[in-house]
Amino acid sequence: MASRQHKLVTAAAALAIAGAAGFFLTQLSAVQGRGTLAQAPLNADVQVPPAFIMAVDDSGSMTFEGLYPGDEQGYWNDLAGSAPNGFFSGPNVLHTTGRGAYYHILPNGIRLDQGGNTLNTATPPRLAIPPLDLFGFARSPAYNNQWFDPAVVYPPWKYANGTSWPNAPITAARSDPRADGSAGTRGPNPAVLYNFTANEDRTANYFAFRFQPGMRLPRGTEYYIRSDRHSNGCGGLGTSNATRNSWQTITTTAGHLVTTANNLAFTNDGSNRGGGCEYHIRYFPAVVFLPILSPPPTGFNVANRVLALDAGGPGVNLYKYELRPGNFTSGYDAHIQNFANWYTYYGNRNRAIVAAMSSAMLEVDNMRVGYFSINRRSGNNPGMNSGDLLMRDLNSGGRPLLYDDFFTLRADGGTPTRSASVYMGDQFRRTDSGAPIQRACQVNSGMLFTDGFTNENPTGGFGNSIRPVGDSDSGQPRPIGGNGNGNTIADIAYSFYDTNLRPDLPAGLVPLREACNNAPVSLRVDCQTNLHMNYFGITLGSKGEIFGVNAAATSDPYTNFPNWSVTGTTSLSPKNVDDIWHATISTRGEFINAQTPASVAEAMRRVLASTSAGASPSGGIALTGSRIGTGSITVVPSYVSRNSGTDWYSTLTAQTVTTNAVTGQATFTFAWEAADRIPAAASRNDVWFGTPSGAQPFNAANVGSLANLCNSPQSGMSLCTPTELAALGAPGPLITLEDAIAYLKGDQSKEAERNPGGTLRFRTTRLGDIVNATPIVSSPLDNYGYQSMPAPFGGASYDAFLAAKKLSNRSMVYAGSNEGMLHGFDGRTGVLGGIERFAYIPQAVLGHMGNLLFPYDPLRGGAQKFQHRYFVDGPLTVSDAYFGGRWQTALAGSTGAGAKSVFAINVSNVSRNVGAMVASDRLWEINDQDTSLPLAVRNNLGNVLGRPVIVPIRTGSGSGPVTWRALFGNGYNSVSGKAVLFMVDIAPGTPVVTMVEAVEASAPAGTNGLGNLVAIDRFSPATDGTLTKRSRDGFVDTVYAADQKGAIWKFDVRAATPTNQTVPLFTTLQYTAGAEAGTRQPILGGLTAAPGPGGGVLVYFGSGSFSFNGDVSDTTLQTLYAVLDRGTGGTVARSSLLQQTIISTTGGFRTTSSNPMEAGRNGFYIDLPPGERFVGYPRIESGVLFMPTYEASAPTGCRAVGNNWLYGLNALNGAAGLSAARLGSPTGTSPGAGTGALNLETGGTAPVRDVAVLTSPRLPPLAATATPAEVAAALAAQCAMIVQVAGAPPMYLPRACGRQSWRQLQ
Amino acid sequence: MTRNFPFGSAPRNRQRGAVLFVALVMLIILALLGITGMQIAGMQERMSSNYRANGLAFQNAEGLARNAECVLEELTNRTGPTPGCDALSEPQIQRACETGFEPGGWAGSLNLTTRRAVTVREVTGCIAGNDDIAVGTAPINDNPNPVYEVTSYMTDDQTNPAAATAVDTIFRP
Repeated sequence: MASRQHKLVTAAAALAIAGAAGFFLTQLSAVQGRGTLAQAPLNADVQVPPAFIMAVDDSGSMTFEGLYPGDEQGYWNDLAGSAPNGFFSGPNVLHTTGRGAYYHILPNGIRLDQGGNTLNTATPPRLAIPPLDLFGFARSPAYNNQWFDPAVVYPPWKYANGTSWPNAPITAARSDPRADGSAGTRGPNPAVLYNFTANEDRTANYFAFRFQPGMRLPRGTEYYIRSDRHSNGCGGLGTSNATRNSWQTITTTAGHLVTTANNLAFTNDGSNRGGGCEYHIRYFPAVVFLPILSPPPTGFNVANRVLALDAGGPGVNLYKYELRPGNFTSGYDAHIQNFANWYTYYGNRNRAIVAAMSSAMLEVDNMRVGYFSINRRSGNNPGMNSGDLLMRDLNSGGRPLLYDDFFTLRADGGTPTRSASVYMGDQFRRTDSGAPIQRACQVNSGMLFTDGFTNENPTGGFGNSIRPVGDSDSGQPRPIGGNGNGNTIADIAYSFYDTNLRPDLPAGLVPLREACNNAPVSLRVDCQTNLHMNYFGITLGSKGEIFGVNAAATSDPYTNFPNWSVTGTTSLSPKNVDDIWHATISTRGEFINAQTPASVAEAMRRVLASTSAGASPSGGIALTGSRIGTGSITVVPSYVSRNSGTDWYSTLTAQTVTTNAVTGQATFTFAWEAADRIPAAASRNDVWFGTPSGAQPFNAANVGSLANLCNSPQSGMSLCTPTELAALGAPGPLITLEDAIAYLKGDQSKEAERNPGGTLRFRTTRLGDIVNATPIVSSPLDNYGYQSMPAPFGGASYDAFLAAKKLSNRSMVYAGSNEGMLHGFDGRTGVLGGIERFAYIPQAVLGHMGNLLFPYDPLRGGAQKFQHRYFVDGPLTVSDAYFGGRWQTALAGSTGAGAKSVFAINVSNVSRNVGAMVASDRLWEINDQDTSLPLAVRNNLGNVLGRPVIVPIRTGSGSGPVTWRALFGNGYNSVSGKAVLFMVDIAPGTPVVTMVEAVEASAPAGTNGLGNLVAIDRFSPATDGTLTKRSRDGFVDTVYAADQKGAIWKFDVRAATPTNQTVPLFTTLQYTAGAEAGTRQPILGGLTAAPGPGGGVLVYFGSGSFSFNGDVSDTTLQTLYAVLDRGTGGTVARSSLLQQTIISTTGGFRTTSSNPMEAGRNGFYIDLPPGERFVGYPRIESGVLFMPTYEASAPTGCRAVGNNWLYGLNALNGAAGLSAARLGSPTGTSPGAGTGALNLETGGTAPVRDVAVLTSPRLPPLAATATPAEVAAALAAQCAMIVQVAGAPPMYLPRACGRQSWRQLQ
Repeated sequence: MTRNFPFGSAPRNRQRGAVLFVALVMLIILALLGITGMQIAGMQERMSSNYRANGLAFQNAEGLARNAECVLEELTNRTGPTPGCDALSEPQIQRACETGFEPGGWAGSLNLTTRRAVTVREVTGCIAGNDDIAVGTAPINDNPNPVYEVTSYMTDDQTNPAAATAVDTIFRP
């Protein structure tokens, strides 16, 4: 009956794009179950690499330096000279029509529109906005998204190996970081150098600024007129030889107004360059204008800033901050370096996109990437058809070549986005050996980076006629469906989403997101299971006719349906932007408006993250109400790792279970999701943390200092220092303890990526990953069977407690997660369900919670500062217990690999309908750092990975004292290295610890540790009062436990001081060859026990480990065992067990032997194939032994590794027990006779740890009107049990039900 | 004196005939017949009464077992209460295995004064290899596959019992 709570725990599986963390790569030991405990799920970096194709705009507009709200150029529109600032039509509102074409800011000595190559006669010419204070908006990130923002750090480009390009010299910053004349460079050759520490006063041609009529040179402006440009001067200046070709100063108070009369043609210039006058201006180039209310650059002496009147439009003043040494009290060097780097590496869109790509792609490992620029497709690669795109596998050295491509991105062509999109999608349809799609379950994304409008039509453009796709989204619901117009980008993209890209591969295997299972499924969610492409668009602040025009109306296109325009043949229109937006919506991609160069990298990371986050299979299941009926719920956690393993999060989903009365089919219905319902940080008052004496509310006053979040004494756990944490706020204010606590409590306002200015780690949900501390459900109906105990425990006392519990308690769901907390969620269905009722941070893990603040750092690639650590990761247990003179409910749990700590909490208060935790509810916490505990206790306590139990024990005699105790193995890697059974009285106060050691004389070398255990009741008081009568009295007296070295120990706990054990009940196979010679199969999985023949006890367990760093690659032989303890003492030999074998494996089913049990055999065993191991918990139900096993290697089908099998064997002799199983439904296919194991399609890579068994009620008699079909269904369905593991379809097994025998006695 | 002999060689003029005698004999026969008939009828009635009592007791015992099974089913399915399903309450279920309980002996130890008794034992963990016996891993009421032994004893009439029957079943809700 070990059912209900922990039933099926697959330690959740995760899709991780995860750059493998360093510790994961060190596989020191060749033996399973030895060495260092892993600090992240071992399956976390296993997945099918997604394919990602980037199409990057290399059009000429990528050289532009302006990016204003709504446009990429400034328009001068003040011929009269009356308005204070003619770029503006009103306060903060820029003109969108007018004179000039001010695409640039910093002239560089060449015709800005000619690229240094050919003369471009386009009109109007591209100009640079004059460096006047009045035009400060152009040099302000508040108006020009492309200008330097002092609050942003602009790191240089990255090479493929992660090293940076050199810092730009502040006195000679290049206009292009690439070598002069090398591929991809654009603009002046050689590059122009800017000195950002001095005034800019070059007088060479094309360093001048164009002043349109209506512009005014203010008094004091120093100007220079070249006589070869204006042979007679211009606008009344430079009218004499003396004032041409020399620096002059405006002296008139009103300045000098350029008028229409000055709208002169130029001499010595072959093209029409519009009107106005060209003046060289002496100015200081390292400058930034910020709005009045914006914080100044850090360290800037605000006395030295200058108010620039009307620089943001009429009446809108800006502050001008010149980055000069004298203007800073501190930090000048960093600011000016940042400015120089900005100019060299981010100064125009071409350079900014290279910076973004080179930094964003650095962190991606597990991906195959194709790259092309939209005007140039790679072709003629060896072995490929002309035009085939070469996919580069980042796992195997593709990155340097990919980066070579990035650095040669040019900027001189049209914008053929339509044909580029077709080309992109067509790549995914290839079937050659280098095709982007390699697996039937692969996730695929395409990304178009463009800054502007399409300039091709379906039959023209880039040298190719476009393969027509017609109106592919016809008939789709809004906003997916178009407007009846065909061959738009949306149609093109949708055809690659809707139509299976690879009909030659099996269809329907692409994993689904969880949201697809929860009806009603939102249109936003990608629920396409055939191979398809998600289309992403990144644009630089472009506006469409709809997109970006009205933020409120376009923020949610699924609610406010955009009215898609006719765009099939449209070119150079804002409608093209809407079309790309439409395409991203249709294909469930994302359209990202990257407003600043820095946000381009961020946006690309989101694209990559979306690609990798894909589907995350469910994790474990807890359930209550295993007999399906009222109150039956299952709780399923799942975890995901993304952002290079920095964003670990969970969802915890509860489903109600119902069963069809006729067919017996179980239905799971979404009830709530807990991560969504965690209270806001400010109102989350029920978070407690452990202290040596109890628990305190988790707030700044109680925690004391940032140092207390970084002081874990366990080596390697804490990665932070208080100084580092505080500095995370940069460039904003320091992170305070209050900030840190708020963040840890779930405040997301300081998260990077989520909020502007956010600097702390991004969390997709506020619930950390739940891995091994999978949930348990505690129901008010739970009866632990203590009625039969003597007073004061049993009888009326316990009955009254049960009645009170049923009346006033709520269901609770407890789960530990690796953001540091044990959570207690409201387990009821409905609106109250899933709300967190309390959280507890064990004392032992508080010292590495500071780690959690470290954000994803794109500059660090796969070596992130943040690394996954376990916190509350040990299995949990809940039970009623009698202490303090009354019945209460207690929870015990451990921190798993996160710390050497076990704690107990009285959950009686929190499980009341209106209850909350109080300080005294923390019963105790024992950890290896608590010096108030005896040294022996601290030295014996290791990382407890086994599941504790809370059981009553009577010691001494039939009238001896009774205590409820938490029992657990001492865990692994303790100081003493012994195997010790811990028994801790559950009552509060100083923990009363009883330790029983198991010391084997001839054990293999190495440290040991006791893992899982099973406690049973074998004896009751005999007539003489001793606890020796062979029957049950409700008190535990025998404990079987497994150790790391492969021994099963039997502890007798009837004595007040139980004797240490020296002879194990059983030892596993000892290896005789290889690196593991001399060691035995480790036992880290769970145990269970059942009555055996002849009054003995059958103990069930399996060998293997998946918790230590070396375990993944180890393929030593592991075995499932059932050992009969006849109670005669001594060690049972493996050779005395009956051997069952795996006969064959076909199509996901294993045929196993059914050898009959022979006399004298002490149980049975079955050897597993190489690589397979048992790390879950066995389960016996109706005579069938269920044991999940995990195969950590050997790719099959789509899954890279991580294959789960479920064995179903006869519990007495190990014969195959799944012959009668039905898959999927009570009438589903049967695997056939002799089947002993089947492959679990969990959709994940994590080990399944538990098996859930549910049964449906017996069918009531059918109505007289029942149809023959209903009768047949009912006959087929009656008396089935539903065997389920997380993520896999259910399996139905017949069970006996109703009366099994009847006799009349008299 | 002349003796009158009612029979035999009586004087001719004496009354002769055996009517009375015959009648008397017949009367005796009839009486005997009647008595026998009465005895038979009484016996029949006693027999049928006993039969009825036994039948009633059996039906009562079976009904009690069914009643207990109904309770068990409700407890397992967390449904009810159904009217009439009241044979036992949850705390009365015995959970231990080696208690020495033997249904025949238990029934034999009861007499008509007991009138109504039911014993329900959960034997899920008493059957070799059927289910685990781990303590502290889960509440006992959340076992999806419990096995119960229901032993019921009941008399025919609760006030004037004449017969009792005991029934023993193994039941899986």
